[in-house]
Formats: sequence, structure tokens, C-alpha cells
Amino acid sequence: MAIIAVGILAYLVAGPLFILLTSAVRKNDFGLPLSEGSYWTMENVRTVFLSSETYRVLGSTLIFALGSLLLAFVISLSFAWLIERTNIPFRNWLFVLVVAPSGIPLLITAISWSLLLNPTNGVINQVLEGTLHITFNAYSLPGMILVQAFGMVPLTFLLVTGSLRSMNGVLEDAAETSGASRLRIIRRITLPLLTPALLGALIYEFVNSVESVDVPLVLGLPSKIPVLSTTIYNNAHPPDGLPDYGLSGTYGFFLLLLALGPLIAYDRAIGSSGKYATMTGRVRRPKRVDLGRWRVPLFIVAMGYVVVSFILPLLILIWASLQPYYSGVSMAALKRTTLHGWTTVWGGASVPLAIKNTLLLGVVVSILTMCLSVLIAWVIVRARSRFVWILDLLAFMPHAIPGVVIGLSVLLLYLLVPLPIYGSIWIIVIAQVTLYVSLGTRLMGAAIAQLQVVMEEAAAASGAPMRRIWFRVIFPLIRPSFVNGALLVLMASMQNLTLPLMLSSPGNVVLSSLIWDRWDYGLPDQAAVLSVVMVAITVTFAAVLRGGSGKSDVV
Amino acid sequence: MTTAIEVRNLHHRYASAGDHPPAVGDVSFDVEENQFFTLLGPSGCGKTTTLRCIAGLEKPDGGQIKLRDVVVVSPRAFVPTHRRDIGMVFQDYAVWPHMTVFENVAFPLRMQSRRRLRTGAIRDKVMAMLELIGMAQFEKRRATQLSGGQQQRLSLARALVREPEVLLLDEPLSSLDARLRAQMRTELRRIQRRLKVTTVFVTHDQIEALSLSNEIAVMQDGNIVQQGRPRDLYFRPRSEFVGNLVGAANVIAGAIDSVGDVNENGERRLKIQTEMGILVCDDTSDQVWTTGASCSVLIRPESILMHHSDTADRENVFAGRVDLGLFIGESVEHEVAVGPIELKVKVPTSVRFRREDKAYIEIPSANCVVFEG
Repeated sequence: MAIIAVGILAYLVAGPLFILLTSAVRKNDFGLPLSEGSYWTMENVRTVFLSSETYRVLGSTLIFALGSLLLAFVISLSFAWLIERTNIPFRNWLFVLVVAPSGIPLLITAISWSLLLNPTNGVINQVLEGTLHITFNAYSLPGMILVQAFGMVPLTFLLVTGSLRSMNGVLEDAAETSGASRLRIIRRITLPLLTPALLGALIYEFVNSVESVDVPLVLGLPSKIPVLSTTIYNNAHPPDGLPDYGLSGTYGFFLLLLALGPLIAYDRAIGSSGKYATMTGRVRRPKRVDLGRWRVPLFIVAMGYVVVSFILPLLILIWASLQPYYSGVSMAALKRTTLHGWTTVWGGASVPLAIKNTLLLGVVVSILTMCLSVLIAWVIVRARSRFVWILDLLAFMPHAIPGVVIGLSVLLLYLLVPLPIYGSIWIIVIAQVTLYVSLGTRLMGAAIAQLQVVMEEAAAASGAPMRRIWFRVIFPLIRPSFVNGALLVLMASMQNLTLPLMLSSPGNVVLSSLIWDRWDYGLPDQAAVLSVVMVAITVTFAAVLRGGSGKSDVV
Repeated sequence: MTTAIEVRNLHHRYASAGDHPPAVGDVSFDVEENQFFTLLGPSGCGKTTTLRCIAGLEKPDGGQIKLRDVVVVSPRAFVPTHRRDIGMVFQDYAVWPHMTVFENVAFPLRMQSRRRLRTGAIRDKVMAMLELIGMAQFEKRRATQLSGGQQQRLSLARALVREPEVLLLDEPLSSLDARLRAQMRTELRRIQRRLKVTTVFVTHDQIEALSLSNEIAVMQDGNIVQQGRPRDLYFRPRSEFVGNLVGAANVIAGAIDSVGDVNENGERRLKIQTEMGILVCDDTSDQVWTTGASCSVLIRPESILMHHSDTADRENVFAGRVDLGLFIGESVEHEVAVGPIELKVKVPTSVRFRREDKAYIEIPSANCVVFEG
């Protein structure tokens, strides 16, 4: 069984990466790597690593990623502290409202902010111009940073709040009885204890922000602000002319290095040293801070954020879906309100196909990913072989590989491998399974590690063969984690734009790529209608996910 | 002697507890300087809450607490924990996993704002403390690399390093295994005697309470039900609850048959009708007894004697049958049926009985404690 798991993983992870690396240094005259007539070349490497353009792109990528990271963490930490450690009113509702936007795909967030903050008829800009005579251009690095940060807050918040909640309050009590003031406790005890979790979340979100194409496509392209992910995409899918896969692959390699750097540093600093090993013993919930007269003002600020980051974008989408052409909010526009977009969007085959493909993709990817993850996690946790670390590493790799790079690698692989899946939905399935298998393995690893091995031994001692142990003992016991993980992957899969876009062709359109397509084509009303439909679907799944189990903060 | 801690009318109810009775009802006590004072009681009796109020980790609803001459809790004032001159040891050690052993112990010294210590002075104090608990060689280890017993000793060193006025111990031994617990008990007593630090100790373990304390306050449902020296509590409990809490006990129900006169020792001889027959007890309490009133008699298993043959000339001798004998090394614990009553009797190993043997039980009247009801 271990061999099967290693085989599948190696095929999924190592194969595409190998193709990616070779595509950077081999090409033929038609720009196709590795096929007939290809030869060794350093041309791509020179173009990418030596041109000043690359470093300009790198600069804007870093500003974009680090800026949004900083903003998202400041917002998330503030909310985590307010909700977990203070007596702010309606804490449970605040929690739900901060997490709720996780049901909205980042692409749709970006589109709605383009509707709110574009310089010509963005609603907020209309208000700002009418009152303060200023406008804020969403098509700029600050605009991209703001929207990317809004998109990252829900997950960042969940990661931070989970570790803040599970922290043992006695450790802070001990500092207090040692004579440390509240500020000193935060600086000397709370923050250092949170550091590994914070760094872990930081790295995870860093990879997310450099790999995603959603915000850079919607807000960066109109004013020609390229980042690495969109550069990779544009070289593989140029608006005109032949794709340059070699160049795209070399950029992909560059991005891979960028994402791997911090991860390796993190692993060196914390991962292996075990110095933050959790301590055993009973956990006492930390005390809540009395906000006193700041209680209500802080609550109002928090609600203000929720309105701006969650409710306003949804409202503008619904508004735009009811307009024949988007022109901001005005009385004149109100008179033009029409259901035209809602009735015409169904014409043609692409919308029903996209919905069907989206659901198919989500279901198949989540089931395949979780089954593979259970297998891998079980081998990693239980096997006593010396080579388990290889499997562990393989399963961890996709976590460090930006999605856009996985997309490109898979694209290149199936351009060359004569399997009839290029251009079908199945190529996206394979890419997404590769992307999510590390998440699934982490979730299932935790579940299986909690499962005492004596359970399996008792079943074996009762005469059950391996197959029956799996179906009668292991699976029933890990089912809650399995279902939870499957729902998480399902959500992520449906919301993902990067892979469907990188691997897109007319036959495998899904909702996210279709929305981008309509938006890019200049049909904001149809993009808005589809966005509302998609949000309805994902929010339903998100509600099931959050309602179904409280374990979702293990991501 | 001066009073180091003064607790008056302390009461506290947790906000989350709803309609439940308060965690601490109305608690008052004094702790003399250098004393080892123990709050003993079952879980949920309010002992830990009381301790956390002294530490300032809990802000009580009412009452007053004085540490030496400083009022730390009163209706008008509340001194935050970090300004109180205390050291505290927690049940689950609470050593900081991100610091070394040295840094854990040095932390309280580094927090002192009024008299800043130089690095050398901090080093000397920490090393002296680590020396005292026998952990100097682990100085550079991470706290997570220590065993449970070592972590708890480290936690004690951290609490003592800034020479606090008061040492607070919240069930410090209960996370350790039995052998380690006995060893740590001795060590704790030795260190406390050596440093002469006023100590408040919270525990549910009667052996820890009896062996370590100068004074014990027994708590039940948020109130102190009896306070005294270990011997008083053990031999003269004022209720069945206290009697059972501080050690194994036989409790026999009965009714007052007759009340004798007070003798020169201040004792009265009570004759009590029980299911075993008339039991003569020397009562030292100032309780007013009326004939016919129901009462119960508490007798410690080790104070009962067992004989093979009848000794008719002595009082309180009852015939019974040995049901069970448990040899536990240092002694033998028997269950002896006397009429309908099953008595626990603990005798030296030299006294040999077998199951089903006839046994004559002698209960010295001085070892009986009589309660009302």
C-alpha cells in the first residue's frame, strides 16, 4: 500500500516539476519544450534572470504580497484578540461575520471592489468625490493590496484565532504572578508562544498571495501592474501570438524559488527544533480583558470593517447584476434596473456546462484528494520504514509550490504525454488533486495520529483482515475529519481560479474561469449575475462546512 | 507573631456560573508569618478560587485581603497581580516552553521594576536557586526537555527566586506520579522550612495536607468548615465530612443513651446506643447532649484493637467475624462484621487473623468522636 501511495504522489508531484525544470532549458523552434527537435538552451534563463523587467515584476510582486500580508495580519490579529481575549459584545456573531467572506471566491471579491473603487464610476469613489473631492484608484498597487488583504483575512483569522484559543492561560498567569505587567506579558510570553503559529500562517499566506492570479488579473492588468503569477499566465496564454511555454516555465521556476525560500527558513528556525513542542497538562482558558468604555466604540469599528469587507461587495454585485451596463449608483441607474442580465445569461451552452463542470470538479477532486490523503497520512503516521520521510516530503511539496506553477507544470506535462485529457475537465482534476493533497494529508495526519494504534491492533487480534480493519475501524473513527476535509477541499476547488485559467480550453470551463472570461470580455452585468450565483453556491457549502463541525480551524 | 495574610469575608461568584452557588461563600482566615497554611477540600469547594483571589488572578466580588500591611483587595482597592509580592506554583507547572531553564527562573527578577538587578546579580540568584532545587546542571536546557518532576521543581524555583512575601501553591504535586509525589512532598517541606516563606497551599490530598501544614482550613461548598492543626483535624474533626476528608474512618449511627458528668480533663462520658450495642465515648466537645438525640460516632481504623479472645473486663468490646484481610506491607486492613455493621480495622502485621475468624473488637473510648445527627 505504501508503494501505491508513493507512486501516485511521485507521479502527481515529481513528474510535473521535472517537466517544468526541463522546459526552462530545452526548446524547439516552435517554442514547445521537450518535443521533437528540441535542444538545450540558456536563452530562457538569461531572459528571466538577467532582465531588469524581471526584477521590476519581482519588486511589485513582493510589495503586493508583503503589503497584503501585513494588512491581513494586522486585521486578523486585532479581530482574534478582540474576539478571543476581550469582552467585546456579540463575539460569536463577529466571529461568524469575519469568517463568512471565506465563502466568496477571491476573483469575485476583486470584481466587486473594481465595481466599488474604479476611478470612473466606482461607488465609493462617487461618494468620495462628491464630498471630499478625492478618488482612490483600485487599479493600483495599494488597491490590489487592500483587496488581496480583505480576501486573506478569513483564513488568516482562523489560523491565528485557533492558536490564540488553544494557548494555555496558565502560562500567562505564571508571568503575572512573577510580576510582569500586561504589556510585558504580551511581549514576553503571549507573542513568543504564538510565534510558530504566526510564522506558519505567514508562510502559508505568503505562498497564497504570490500564487493567486485573481486580484492581479482584475485590478493589476488594467493599469499594467504585472506580478509573477500573471506574467506566468500571460506567457502561457498570451492574448495574441503563440504561447512561450519555455519562458513561462522559467518564470514558474523563479516563483518556486521565491516561495521555497521562506519555507526553508521557517523549517530551519522552528519546524525541526521541537522547541515549541506543546506542553501537556490541563489547559485553563485565558482571562478576558475588560475593554471598559472602549467596548462599544471598538465594536462599532469592528462592525464597520464587516460592512466594508463583506456586505458592501455583496450589495454592489447584486446591484451590478440588475443593471444593463454598470455606471455606478445613481437615481438614473435605479430607473434602468432590469432582469435582463439574469434572463439572457443562460443562453448558450457555456453557463450550464460551467455549473456542471464546477460541481463535478469539486466533488471528484474532494473525494480523490481525501482518499489519497488518508492513504498517505496513514502510511506516514504508522509505517516504521526509514523512507517515510520521502513520502512526507512529497506530500508536503505541493504546499510550497504556487498553484500557478502547478498549473503550468501539469499543462506542460499533458501537452507532451499522449493522454487524451488535455483540454478536458480531468486535467484540472489532476492539477487540483496535486494542489490540495498536502492540505488533505495534514488534516488526515492529525486525525490518524489521534487514533490509537491499539484500536487497529485490537481489530487484528479479533481476527479482522486489513481490509475490514479499514472499513470497520479506521474509517468510521476518522470519518468526521474526512468529511470536514472533503468539504474544505470542495470549497477551495470550486473557488479556485488559477488552475482552471492556466488549463483552460472551451470544453473545461468552470464558473470561476467563466466569470473571468465575461468580465475580461467587458460584460460586467453577466459577470455579476454569475458571481451572485456562485456566491450563493459557495456560501451554502461554507455554511454546511462551518455548521457541520467546529474543527474547521485546523486548516 | 505577625500576620502575613489576612482574608476577611471573601466571597466570589463566577460570572459564567449563572444560578449556581458562589464559588467562595464567605471566607475569613489569618496566616501567621512563616507558616505553612493549607486549604484542603474536594474539587469545586472554592479552595483554588480563594488562592487565585490572594494572587489577584481573580477579582473577588467582595471582601478584603491584606498581604502583610498592604491591602490588596478591598471594596475600594485592587492591586493587580504583578504588583503583589508573591510567588506561585501551578498544578501543571506552567513553565514557559520558549525559554531555557535559566530564563524561566530569571524572568521574575527581570520583571522587577523598582530595584533593577545587574546581570551578574541575576545570574547569582538564579544559580543559587537552581542549586537549592538540585537543577543547576540543567541551566541551559529547554523547559520542554525536562521531566514532570523537574518541571515542577523549576516552577518552584521560579516562584521563590524573588524572595516573595508569600508563596502560593495550587495543587503543585497532583500532576506527579505517586513515588515522585512523596519525594517532592519531603523536598517542599524542607525548602519551605529553610527559606521560612509564608506559604498557602491548596490540595485535595489529605496526606499532603497533614504532613506539610502548620495549619489546615477545610473547605466545603465555598466555606471553611473547620480550621486547626493537623492533629486536631485528624483526631477531633467536628463533622463527618471533615473526618472522612482527612483520613479513613468508620462512622456509626446511634442515639444518646446517657450523658455523664464532666471530669477533670473536661471530658464527658457518653453512652450511645448503636446497632453493635452500647458504645462508651469520651466527648471533648462543648456540645449540649440530650438523651435520645441521634448522633454519629467516628472511629479511625487504626485506633481499634483486635483480640482473639474475649476481654470482658474492658469496656467497648464487641464480638465480630473477620470478613476480609488485606495485607499492605506495613499493616493489615481488616473488614470485621459486628452485627449488621462492617468495621474497617487496621492492625500491625504481628496481629494475625484469617478470614471467618472470630474477633473481639475493642474501641478505646478516648478515640471516639461524637457528632450531632
